[in-house]
Amino acid sequence: MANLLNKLRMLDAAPKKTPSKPVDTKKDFACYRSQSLFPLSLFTNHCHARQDILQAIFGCPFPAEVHPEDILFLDTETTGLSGGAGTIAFQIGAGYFTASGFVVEQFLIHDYPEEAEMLRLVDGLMQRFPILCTFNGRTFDIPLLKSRFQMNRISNAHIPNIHADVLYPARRIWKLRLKNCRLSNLEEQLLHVQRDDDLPGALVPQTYFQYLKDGNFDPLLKILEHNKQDIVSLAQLFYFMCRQVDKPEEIEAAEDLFSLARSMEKTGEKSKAMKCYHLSAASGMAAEACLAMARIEKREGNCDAAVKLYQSMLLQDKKSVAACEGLAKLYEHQLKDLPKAVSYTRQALLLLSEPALFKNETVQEQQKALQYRYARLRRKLSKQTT
Amino acid sequence: MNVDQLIGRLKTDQSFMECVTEWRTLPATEGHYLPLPENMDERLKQVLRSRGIHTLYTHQAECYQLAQAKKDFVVVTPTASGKTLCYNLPVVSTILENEDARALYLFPTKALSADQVSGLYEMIEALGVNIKTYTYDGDTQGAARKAIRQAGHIVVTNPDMLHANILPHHTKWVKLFENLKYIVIDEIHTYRGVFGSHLANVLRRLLRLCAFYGSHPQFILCSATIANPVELAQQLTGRPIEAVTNNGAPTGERHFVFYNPPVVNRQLGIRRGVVNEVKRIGENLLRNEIPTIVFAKSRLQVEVITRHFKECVRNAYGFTDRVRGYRGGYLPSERRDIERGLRDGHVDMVVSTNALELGIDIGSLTACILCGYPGTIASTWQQAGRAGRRKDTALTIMVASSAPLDQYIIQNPDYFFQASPENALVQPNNLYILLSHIKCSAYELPFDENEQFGDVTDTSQFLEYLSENNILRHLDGKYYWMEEELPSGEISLRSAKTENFVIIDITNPAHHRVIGEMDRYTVPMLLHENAIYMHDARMYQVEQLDMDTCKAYIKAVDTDYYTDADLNVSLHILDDLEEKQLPCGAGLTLGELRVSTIVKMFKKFKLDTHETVGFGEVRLPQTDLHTVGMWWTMPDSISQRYSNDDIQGALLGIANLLSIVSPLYLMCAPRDINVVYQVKAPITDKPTIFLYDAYPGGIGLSEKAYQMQELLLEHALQIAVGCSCEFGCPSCVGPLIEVGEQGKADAIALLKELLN
Repeated sequence: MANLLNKLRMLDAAPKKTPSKPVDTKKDFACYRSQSLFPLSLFTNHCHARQDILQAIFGCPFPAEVHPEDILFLDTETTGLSGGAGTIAFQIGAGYFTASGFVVEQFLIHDYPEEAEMLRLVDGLMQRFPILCTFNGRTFDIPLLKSRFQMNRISNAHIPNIHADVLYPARRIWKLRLKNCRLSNLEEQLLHVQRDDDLPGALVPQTYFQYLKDGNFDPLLKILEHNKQDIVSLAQLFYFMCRQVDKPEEIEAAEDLFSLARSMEKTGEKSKAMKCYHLSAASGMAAEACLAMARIEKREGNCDAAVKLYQSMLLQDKKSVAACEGLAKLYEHQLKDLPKAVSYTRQALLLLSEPALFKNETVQEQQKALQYRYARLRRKLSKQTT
Repeated sequence: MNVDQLIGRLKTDQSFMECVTEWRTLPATEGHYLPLPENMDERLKQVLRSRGIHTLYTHQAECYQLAQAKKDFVVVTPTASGKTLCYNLPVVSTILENEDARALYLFPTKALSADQVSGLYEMIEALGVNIKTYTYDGDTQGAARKAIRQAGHIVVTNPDMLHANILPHHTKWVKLFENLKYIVIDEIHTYRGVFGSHLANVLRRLLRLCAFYGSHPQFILCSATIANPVELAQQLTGRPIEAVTNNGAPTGERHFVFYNPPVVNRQLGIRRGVVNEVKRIGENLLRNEIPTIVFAKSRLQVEVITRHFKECVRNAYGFTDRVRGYRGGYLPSERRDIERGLRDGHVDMVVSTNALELGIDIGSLTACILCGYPGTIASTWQQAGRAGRRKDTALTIMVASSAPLDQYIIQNPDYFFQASPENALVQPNNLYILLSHIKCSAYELPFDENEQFGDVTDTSQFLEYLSENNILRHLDGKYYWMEEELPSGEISLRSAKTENFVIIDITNPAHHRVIGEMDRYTVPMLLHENAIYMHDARMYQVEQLDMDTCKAYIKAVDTDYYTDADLNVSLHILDDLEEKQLPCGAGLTLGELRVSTIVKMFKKFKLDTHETVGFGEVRLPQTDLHTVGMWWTMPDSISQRYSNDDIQGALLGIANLLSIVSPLYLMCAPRDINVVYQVKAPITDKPTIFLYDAYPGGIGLSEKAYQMQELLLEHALQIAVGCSCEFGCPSCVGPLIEVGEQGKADAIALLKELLN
């Protein structure tokens, strides 16, 4: 099989890539480390990160006292996105608050054999914090780190129990208005951070592989810079979010208020939700907010309040099908006033039959449901009269 | 009428019997039993007794003892012999003993795993213990996946999932790998050729990871009757394997009928179409409500036949569900529904591709119709075994097509009943396949410098090659993965090319829906633009085929024709590996070839009469296959004696003969090899006949043909001389219109010269 290599080479006719540089063995296995300090003035006041606010945002339990020093903000740069056993986190950055400022510690391996050492350092760091904060760490960074610990036979790594992944609440609150909820967009739109000459995330793996091949460290500085900014933005966003939830009256955009209300409703924070709905109704999303509030009132058994909300909707917009339908449901099931229910159902059907309406499938389904309701109401009514 | 009465009736039906070339009755056999093993867990014994199992078949008992003795073994028994207990008993009793123990079950298809799991559930439920058994395949929901990874005692999956999902993410499966006690692989005879060669490498990867996690699982393998189950099992697992072959299960009486459709054109040697004959025979069975399975050769045939039988059973309300089609391209929910219908008896007839050949338990089927010879002896017995799974009489009718192999088998029944079933060949060290899996394995765990992958002694050369290409990084005695992408994503275990195409129905522009999928290899044949595509007996026309995004858009149409594509093949010699000269002066070469195939046109056929009604053009890129082949080069001394036209007819005739003969000697399916000829081969300019493996890198068939070429030629000559046709027919050199008037005589003469 002496010609096996030749045969293998024949397999692909593609031009040969440049061979790796002869490896100058870095025998000391010391991974790259750096520390940077940022002034506290960069961050929104910490007082908003109270237990109730955090639980409302993340929907999981937090300790009664959450000090800024308890949270480790973490972000990794990896050799790929697949998250399988052959993908590694070659660079790990972690930020935390100290009395003198926000510290970002960064680790980077010069080559594969240094990974175990870096992981041990990160493990030691994580051990000091009860709370972890990431952006999309729940599905990406943390499973990947666990996989790396496993591959390096480091058992019982100290990954903090409480994990605040900012991505999910950020999506709930800002997706409606900003559409794109990547960290880079959020920091630009919400925190007004401008990055100069930032390395696009998609180029990170290739940049690192290139370094492995040619040993030129300079391009890696860009990765480190990128990672550092990600961690600062993450911490800023975390406290910014806490403040918004704590003081919704400061929010200007009606969409954000509405989204926040919806998110509060989802995590079971009714009074906070109602407050935000009210605010969003006042700043331009009246119809959607009223509908949502009526839904909550109805669920709480406050039928009169719900009726009032629907009627206020109809005052604003005579053509609101949703309001008619809501009223019809209320009168049928809760208030047991069948003639009124019939009348609102008919009104809704009439509104939908306007030729101007594009007959798409949702409208057709809505019509079907209303017709079904109408028929049922007529049956009930005739039973009642006989 | 029950099946015994129907058999009686058929035997007196003269027009039927005229076409029967052989009616073989295989007598019922007694079962052999042993008591439940003494060392078996008492709870398990109770469950077995409560289900009426007081004794085990001898082979089941032997399996249990081998498993207890920590041996790796393969069970070789026919269909319906209680094979599942062979592995479920040892696995369940091990988990009863040690609740940390884990087992991995591999089945070749999803349908099969679904079926096996439901049986296992019942047993575990009766035991009343918490043994978590899950199927983990493409249909498993995301949330369930997590639970399975954490807690599944028995994980049931298929090689593709293992390859693409489990192994690359092994760190999420720590519990499984650390405690893996058994690897159960059912239906190993299906892992031949490329698929088997891939599987052998997937298992090398699996065992490598097990070693990393410190486990040493035992293998329990099951196989249908093939010639070399032990050899295959050893090649797949890389371990010495013991065999259990003493089948103790009883069988019912079995009637095997060879049916050759009547000749309609004697000169051209054309017989009545197999589809038409199957329709006639099937109607008879349907009328008598005999549960029947019809095995068709292709998806297309399944659809054509299903459509016909559905019309037969359409009742006053328009319901046709007594007849169902069943094939690979159906969505999981559709398949489950059909399987349920079969089990509870609402379905009288299933028309299937070989997807149902594997051991799905249907129970009540009585008759089986084969549309043509399935290609191998093993496959034929498997398909026939689908009928009469209990101790009752079973009827199998094999209807021959005019394909030459079919004609050979149908006219030589003794060959079929006496020959041993085929060898399942695998070539785990096929360069392409091996290289792909060494990549995958390096992704999963860095290689040590001196490490050996399976029994590959040149592992280091592969690793060196991969680091030359910057796919791996060689540093401090280890090879690390150095690419962004996950390598298993681009490697499909079942065919050379990777992604599947999805088939999208755009009949309703507002509501596109995916109705199926197809592998890349088949797409040019069936989903080229303007092809008529059939799905569940409805006809669609392909509107657009997007090669980049792997999507085919189809629209429902109502036509009375179907389409069939023509495949064009061209060859280039890349390298000679071995050469010799035959006594007659002809050259014989074994070498590497590049075969380019392209679909350029298709034909339209009328649905009922199958006559050609038109043509169409296809514009698709060609596909290249790099493989191993062997070829005969005619010397001038011979070829000079023929005119150009004559040599063409002769070569075509011999090529046809060789494609009939070779599968019999190489013990492979006809589609595993191709035989083509060139009047002027590239480089030598001489008339040449090529035989090559139809798989990238080759699977060892051409090497074998190179060694036994004389036998192949002798047998080819024997068929040509022995055939009763005058100027050629599809069963020997090919029909007269293709080979010409002199074709048969020239082919015989040329063969004689080659053998001189």
